[in-house]
Amino acid sequence: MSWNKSDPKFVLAYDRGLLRSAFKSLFWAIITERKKRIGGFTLNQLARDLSTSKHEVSRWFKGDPNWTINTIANLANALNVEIRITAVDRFTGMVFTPAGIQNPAYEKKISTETFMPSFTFRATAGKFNSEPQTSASLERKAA
Amino acid sequence: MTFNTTSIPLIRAIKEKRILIRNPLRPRQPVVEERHLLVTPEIDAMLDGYLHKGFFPAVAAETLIGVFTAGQLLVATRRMPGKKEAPDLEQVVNGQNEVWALCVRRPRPGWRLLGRWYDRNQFVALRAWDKHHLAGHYEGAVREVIADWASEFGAQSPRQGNELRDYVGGVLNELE
Repeated sequence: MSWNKSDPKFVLAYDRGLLRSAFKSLFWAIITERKKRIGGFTLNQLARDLSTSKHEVSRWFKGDPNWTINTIANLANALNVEIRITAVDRFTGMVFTPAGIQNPAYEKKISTETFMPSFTFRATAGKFNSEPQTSASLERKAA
Repeated sequence: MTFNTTSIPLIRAIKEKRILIRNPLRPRQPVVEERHLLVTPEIDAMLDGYLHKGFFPAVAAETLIGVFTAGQLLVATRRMPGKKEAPDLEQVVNGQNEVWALCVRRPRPGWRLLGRWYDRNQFVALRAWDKHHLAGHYEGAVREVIADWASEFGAQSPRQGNELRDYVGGVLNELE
């Protein structure tokens, strides 16, 4: 299918393809390293750990497969690796993790706010509301 | 992109816009090992849809470029692939001439960007063929690439190596 490159649908399809490739590439890098490092590590062995066939595992790494999250979890489990998930805001660079925002500047601001008032900005109906945020206001909110 | 003393003809070709650096659709994240795709203005125009309208721009082609430049998994071979094999990258005609093909499998019928490695991880695509027209014309197409190379870079030899990793790094699945 041919589109305009600036078409949001084109960009979405590209993003999907790159993410599918990233998972495929990630696990292939691990498999390649294991083959080098661990004598006797083969796709056959991995397939046995996954209760599937070597042909099936081999197929996962060719073409453009659309893995389920369960497939990713199964591979991670069989290869004994922990998947760490982060998302980076393309505009601000802010890093999100499943446990919240990971941003040194943001954390620093939190740790100093009992001494220095700062402002949080909340987008509401197209406007930014600002409210001085001090330890007292946080305690009031918590209460 | 890093250059060394043998890069002068390439730098000149880039400055004169005879060769263009083809960037991925999205800005590249920091990667372990970057690969670079360099193309002629004709191939650049084709990929952007100014030539072969209806086929390009194509998501599959842009995705392959994204994967290539990000150093992600490429299926590659230095021998003639079997009918059921579908490498992303292959060395053509037994490697005697250092001509390679980046295989854009969609849109149908599939396209081949023929070129040579200027340096490790620097692929210069000089000719684009659709697969149907290329079939049976490989030798002529290879001669064109060799002539284009000489015209662009003079006596500069293409990258030569004994194994796949001499040409390209990143994550690779080499067909056995």
